[in-house]
Amino acid sequence: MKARQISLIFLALAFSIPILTAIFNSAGPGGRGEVIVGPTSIRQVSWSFGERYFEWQIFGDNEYDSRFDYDLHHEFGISLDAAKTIRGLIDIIHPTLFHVSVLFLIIAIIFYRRSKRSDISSPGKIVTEEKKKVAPSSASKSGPQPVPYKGFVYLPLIAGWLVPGGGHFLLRKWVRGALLAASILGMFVLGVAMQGKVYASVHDILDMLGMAGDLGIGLPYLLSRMLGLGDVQVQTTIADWGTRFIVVAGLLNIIAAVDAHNLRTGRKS
Amino acid sequence: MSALVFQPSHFTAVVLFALFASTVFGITQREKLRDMIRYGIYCFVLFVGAAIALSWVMYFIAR
Repeated sequence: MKARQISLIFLALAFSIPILTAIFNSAGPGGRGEVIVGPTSIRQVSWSFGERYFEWQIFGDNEYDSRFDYDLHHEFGISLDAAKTIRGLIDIIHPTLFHVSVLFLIIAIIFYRRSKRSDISSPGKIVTEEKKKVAPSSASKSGPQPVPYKGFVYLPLIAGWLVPGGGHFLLRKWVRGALLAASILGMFVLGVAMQGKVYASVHDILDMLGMAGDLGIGLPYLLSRMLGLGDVQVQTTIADWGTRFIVVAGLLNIIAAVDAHNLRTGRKS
Repeated sequence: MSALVFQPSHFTAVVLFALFASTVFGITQREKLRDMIRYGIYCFVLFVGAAIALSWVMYFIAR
């Protein structure tokens, strides 16, 4: 199987989880009974039970589904201990679903990049060799050149994600790195100072997008979670601004990390 | 963490947002220094300009 096909399969898998969740959660009472996917067939029992169960299974809204094991006990006659065991098992699985989705996305990107690389090397091999024979010096001079950093090709990307500006520092682009770090960290810190929310769990698609943005900033996200920063309820407009600052800081950091990767591969000078 | 509290006006928040975002855009989307600065300023003006224009639109919608 070609790398591009594998990439498409993983991309479909990555997006199928949130899309299926959105469809199931937005389906009306009539439609819900028709959805039978493994354990979700339990949802046919009742509207409220099904809704609670499925949302809980995918996104882990524990507060909302605090009575899931009791529902299981009363609806199916399963002993309470067994119901609690089942709940415990699903409790382990459901946060994993979100991470699996992200993992699929990463695998899809890796295979897509591999397919692009093979596209460049295999069909145009003869042409590029001919070009080299004709004008080797002019080909080497034209276009952006890779920076003189020799190491793992994805290291600037990972470093840039974990530490804002880290990828550029690794490539010795000190000024660019410092400006990026100041901008991204400044935005993140101001967002927290404006009483913005740092997403800790996801309950719907919008939360999922917000959390994906927050995760983009890398280690500062983990640090803020450890220090309990951003663990607030948004009550004012400024706090809402703060939440957007934090999310956008993460998204900008992803752009910066990809830029570092482009510098490393020579796609950008 | 009570010391870490910042309550800007909406306009200040817009300007700060535009400043940080346009800095990153300028650095990452252009290759030459001159182009970076020009693109950064362009993005900054667009961010702030669009916010002001949309604010006036919403002001008249609310009336």
